[in-house]
Amino acid sequence: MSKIKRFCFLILIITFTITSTGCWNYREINNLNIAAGIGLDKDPKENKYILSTEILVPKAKNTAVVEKSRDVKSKGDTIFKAMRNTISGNGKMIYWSHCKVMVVSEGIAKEGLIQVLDVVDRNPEMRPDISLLIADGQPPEKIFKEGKSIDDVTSYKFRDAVDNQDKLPDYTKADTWDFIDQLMKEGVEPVASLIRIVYKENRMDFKIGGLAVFKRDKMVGKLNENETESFLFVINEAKDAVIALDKKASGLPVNLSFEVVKSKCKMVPSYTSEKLAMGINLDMDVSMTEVEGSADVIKPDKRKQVEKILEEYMKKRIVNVIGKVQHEYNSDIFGFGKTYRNNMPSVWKSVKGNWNEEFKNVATEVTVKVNITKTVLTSESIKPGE
Amino acid sequence: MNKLTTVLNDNIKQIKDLFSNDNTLISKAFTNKNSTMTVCIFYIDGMCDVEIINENIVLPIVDYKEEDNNYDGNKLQLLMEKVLYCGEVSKVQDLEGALNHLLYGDTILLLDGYDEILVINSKGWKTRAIEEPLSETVVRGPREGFTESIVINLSLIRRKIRTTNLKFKFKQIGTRTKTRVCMCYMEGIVNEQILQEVEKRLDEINIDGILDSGYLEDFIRDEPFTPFNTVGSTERPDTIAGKLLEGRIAIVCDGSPVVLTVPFIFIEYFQVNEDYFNTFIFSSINRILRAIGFLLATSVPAVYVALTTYHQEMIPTPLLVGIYEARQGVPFPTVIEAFIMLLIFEVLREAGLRLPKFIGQAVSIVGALVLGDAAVNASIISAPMVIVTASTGIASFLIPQMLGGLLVTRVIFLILASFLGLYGYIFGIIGLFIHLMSMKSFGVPYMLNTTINEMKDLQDMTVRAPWWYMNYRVDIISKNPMRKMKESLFRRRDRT
Repeated sequence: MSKIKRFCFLILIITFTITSTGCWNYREINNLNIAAGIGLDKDPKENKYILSTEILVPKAKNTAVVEKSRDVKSKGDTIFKAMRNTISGNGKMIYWSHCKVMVVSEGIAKEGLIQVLDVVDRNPEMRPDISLLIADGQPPEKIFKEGKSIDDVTSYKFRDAVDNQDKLPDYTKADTWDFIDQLMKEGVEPVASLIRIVYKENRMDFKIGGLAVFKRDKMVGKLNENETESFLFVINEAKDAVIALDKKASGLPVNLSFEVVKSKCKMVPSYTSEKLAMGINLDMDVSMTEVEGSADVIKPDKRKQVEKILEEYMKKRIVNVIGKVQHEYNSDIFGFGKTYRNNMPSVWKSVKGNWNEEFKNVATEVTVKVNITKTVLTSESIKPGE
Repeated sequence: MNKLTTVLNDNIKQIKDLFSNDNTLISKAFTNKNSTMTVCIFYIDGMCDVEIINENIVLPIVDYKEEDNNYDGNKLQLLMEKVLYCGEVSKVQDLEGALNHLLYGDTILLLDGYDEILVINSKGWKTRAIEEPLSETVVRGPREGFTESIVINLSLIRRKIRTTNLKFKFKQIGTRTKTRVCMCYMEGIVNEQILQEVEKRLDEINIDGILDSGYLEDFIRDEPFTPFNTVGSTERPDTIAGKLLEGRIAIVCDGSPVVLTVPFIFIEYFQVNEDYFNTFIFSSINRILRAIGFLLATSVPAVYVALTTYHQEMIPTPLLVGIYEARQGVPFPTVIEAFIMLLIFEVLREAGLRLPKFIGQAVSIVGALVLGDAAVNASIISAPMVIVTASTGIASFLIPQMLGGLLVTRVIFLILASFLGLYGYIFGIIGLFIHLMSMKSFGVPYMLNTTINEMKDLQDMTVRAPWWYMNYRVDIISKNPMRKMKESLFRRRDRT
């Protein structure tokens, strides 16, 4: 009897473990279409979402087809419906787990991004590490179509550019998950990178650069590449940036470029006589990576002079971008609110309710300290012989 | 069987009747010089050394001249002690016992007037030379292997361990073949309980014939229905010597070059004799490779099927694209593809095994060209599946003794993964380990020392510690856990 009981018990366990699992789905890989990127736009007349999905085209054997991807367009009242509607124009179900970028039109961004973010966050197939890009004034469909080069998957190229952001901090690396995280936090506003198609010498190419500034989930403005870099210095995300110093702007005899070795920005909040003030202290170690001429800028006294000029230059840029964000966009993308919250909780409690207004009036004091720590391989400029 | 009489001719007739229709029996009756003794010898053609018979049996008797004609002592005793030039002569009373010796290559001698038989050792048949076993070749280490002759095999073991503590205990198994089986063990190291158990199981065997040690293995093993071995086997004397020194018991079976060792635990699959001859670092790396091989050989097809049919999100994008492109136009589901390829691999393996070498080449060409290349080009099989099958197959050859176990495990894992994805694969792993952990070999837990309690348990497991560090034997297998012979063994020897 006990044997029968044990056998029944085993059968029960197996049945339960098999039937009470989560998503169980058998699908052959070749019956899927793999999505590489997705573009989201809205048709204002019909109030319908327009989806342009880039799907991978498998290379057929023994053929010279080089096309690697193609775009599928679909419409729907909601995004998820539009995603399903791709089947009717495509034949196969689209598989979203390897979707790497999402390009959202400016229209949707201005209307509010939560409608888009929810799909990414909720859908089990989509991953929250999709790169979030905002189409800069152009429809996403066009960006996918015209950014395409024949031998590469467009979306994966976008993604590569985003992944290499450390070397070129003209935009942010933040993916959808980061965006949602920033959005839900108190005292800081999210940003997203901008993407556009540029026309150069009768060919079109994509360009990622600049930031879309958000206030909560609504886009309120843009920063250009230069401003973006300055902004990223403040929030400590421009680690390997290259700073070019033009001789006209600096007054030095030669053009110089510097690679940032170490950059640390510290925000010091203060509250005196009911006035909010924020000290922004940027401490940078740079190496001189390019000297475009034979003038000496490396001797200690000359170097001090270069450091001074660089400090001024950086300070100007940072003051400039802070001013623009404070007065033009009034969006706390620097996280001043967060700094108050962490360092002076009692102050934050009193200003929190009216932070929208208070943020504009935070007095900022920018100090930049630059050390030229090395000059890479040579310590001299190239001097032509007499 | 009839009793022997004192009349020689009656006895000769009786033996000849027993061997009627068997012309290999050779008999010769003759007398000594002064015809005081009439004798008849019998031997089996081809099993005896004819030179021994001529020089040491026939010649001395024929030449023997009895001085005292009225010798009233036992003439048989006289032959045994004074006449024959043989080291091993014994007196047997019953005919059946004598015939057993006769059939094993001895010569029997009947003397007129006596109802007893002299059995004279004249064994001498052709045996294979000692050569390197084909199934277990080494790069470094002794190259001799066991042969089919139990006497030679035992001498090979004896030559490695020259101590009186090495014991050989003979048994005769098989009601018709009467095969000689020998239990070897090291007294003082062996665990007596295990020894008794082995002896008990050997005594219980009831079969008409034992042709190879494999028969014995089936009879004495624990867990008869598992695909994993619970009895070890090898063709190498050095391996046997090593196992004996670890406290294991070796079972040598006449007619088989494969010697069994018990108890056998799971980790022994991964311990190869060469590990102990190479430097410990290299050996440890090889051991780890074998462990990885075990993992690959059981899991690669299952994990591949699970990932490509259930968990595509877990595959890195470039790899996914590669598999996606390779799968285009393949008519079968991935699971069926995997089963086809595994089947073909096993067929090729089995086909190549027993063929002569020159036909074997044809098999490998067909396998490599037709199946590897043409099937992929014709889109019948996708290229990644060929890689999966090939890596599985190669990995399983890292542990050649476990081929059967690996094959069964692999297929079960694949079936589970095809129904339930990685979830099913994990079920399989859990099931496998429950199965392995529940087994015992001669009272020793099968997975002994795979869980670590003390540092000393580690010394001969996934890594092989240097010899100067290996001071201990595995406790449960050996009664005497100290490896270095300081006192215990010597003291023991003095006592006995």
